Amino acid sequence: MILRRITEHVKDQNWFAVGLDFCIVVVGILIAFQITSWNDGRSARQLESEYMILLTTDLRTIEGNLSEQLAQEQAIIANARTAIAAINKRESGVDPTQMGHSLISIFGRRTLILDSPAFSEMKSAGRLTLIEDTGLRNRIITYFDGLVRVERILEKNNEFYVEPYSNFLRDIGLGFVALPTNACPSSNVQSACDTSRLAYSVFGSEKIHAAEQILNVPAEDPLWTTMRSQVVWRAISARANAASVEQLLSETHALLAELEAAP
Amino acid sequence: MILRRITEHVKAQNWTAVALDFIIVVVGVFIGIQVSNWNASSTERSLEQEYLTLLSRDIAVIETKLKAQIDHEEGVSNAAADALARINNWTDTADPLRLGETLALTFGRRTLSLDSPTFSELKSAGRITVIRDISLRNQLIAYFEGLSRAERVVGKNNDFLVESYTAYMRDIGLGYVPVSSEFCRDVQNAIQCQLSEAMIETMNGELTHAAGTVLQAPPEDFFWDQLRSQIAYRNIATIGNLIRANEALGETREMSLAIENAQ
Repeated sequence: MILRRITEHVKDQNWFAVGLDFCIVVVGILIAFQITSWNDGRSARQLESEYMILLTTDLRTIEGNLSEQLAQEQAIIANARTAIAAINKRESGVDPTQMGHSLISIFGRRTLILDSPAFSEMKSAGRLTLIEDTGLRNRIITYFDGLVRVERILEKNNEFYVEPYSNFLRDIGLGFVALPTNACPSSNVQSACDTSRLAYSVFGSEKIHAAEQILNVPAEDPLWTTMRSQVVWRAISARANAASVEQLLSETHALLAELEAAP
Repeated sequence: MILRRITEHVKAQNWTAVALDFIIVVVGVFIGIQVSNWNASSTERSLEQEYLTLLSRDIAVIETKLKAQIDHEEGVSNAAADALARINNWTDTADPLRLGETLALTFGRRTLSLDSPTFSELKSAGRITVIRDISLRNQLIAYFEGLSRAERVVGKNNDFLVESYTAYMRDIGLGYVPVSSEFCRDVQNAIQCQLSEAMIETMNGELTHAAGTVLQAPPEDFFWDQLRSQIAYRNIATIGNLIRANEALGETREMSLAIENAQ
């Protein structure tokens, strides 16, 4: 009896309506998923374009920072050349104060710090994939990896070549021959200028160097050979820094152009 | 529509129809989710292939970089062997300038930098599991960890042995003997040859070394023992770097093959 009733009920069903309901459920779910996914995609595109603007701003800051670094390294190379020329012509007399200024103008380091808060955030939040274009994403990652590498290269150069040079000047008893205030705006050697300003404000008119004695030795004194070697290596580190910075600057320009051209 | 029908069926106590409606909803939702999962999985597969292509491109770049490192280290090692032979057969008539040039070819470090933007992205975005094959995934992780170990090993060798060697050359007052373009034609050391070219141009003909005096000690002078010892340790660093770079090259070729097989 039960079986008969069930059979009747099954026979009574409108199978077309059953099929239609079934299709409605499946298609409805698929459409709901599609709407969610489309909505997510739209938010991701919006977020991507916001991040692109932030990255462009960061790159502009990095570009400015690199240009300043390059100017300083180039000024150091030029000043080192002046110091080497003076050492090579020492037979015809050396002005100790001028030589002291030349030596101090290439003293000091400028630590290169190239942060991008936008990239750091994207990386730490696992949001790099918001950049839809795989090629662009790869180039951005490569660029920022390169940035860290250049920071490390400059740091190593400073550690191994710039600091020993400063130690050399200190250890030969030269002291600090502060650059005259009027030399600073044109010299472009920021760290030496900053330290000179600090020295004037701290020590006032107190003597803090011995240029007249130390740099007044005869032309055949071995001090000149050692000093030239020290200055040459300081110049080599500045040359290496400048080459790395120049390369990075051109990569920065290329990436900026690409980001600005991106839709 | 379904809710209305279910309510009607419940009111009419048409339990067969209620059961049918229930089955429609459950099976419909199940199929809808399955289709959506299948879609997501097919996107993942195409993403996996895309990442494998990018990884294999990065690995090809790494292979080129490793070959360049090996080339550089071999060049330094050959120059060190040449310098040692010159020192061991030193006579009063030997050419200090040529020895100076040979020593210049043993200066400097080449920082090994083996980045993979793709792996870096996969790791930071927590997407490494997009690579389905567990053994390939494990091989990739082990490979990139090995590369970063190789970078550190070369970095440490450079810090402890190469930098101290360069400092020795600077502190004995040798300065920098630029390698002449004729000499550069016969040696493999692009870095030093480029630096020499840049230094000749930058220093505008100024003498940047004291090879004529510093490398003019008599053959029995203790200076030669010190110089030989410095070169020997410099070469030990080079050999260490060479071994590690060759190992990394072998691992890179294996990795490249494994990715090729998975594509």
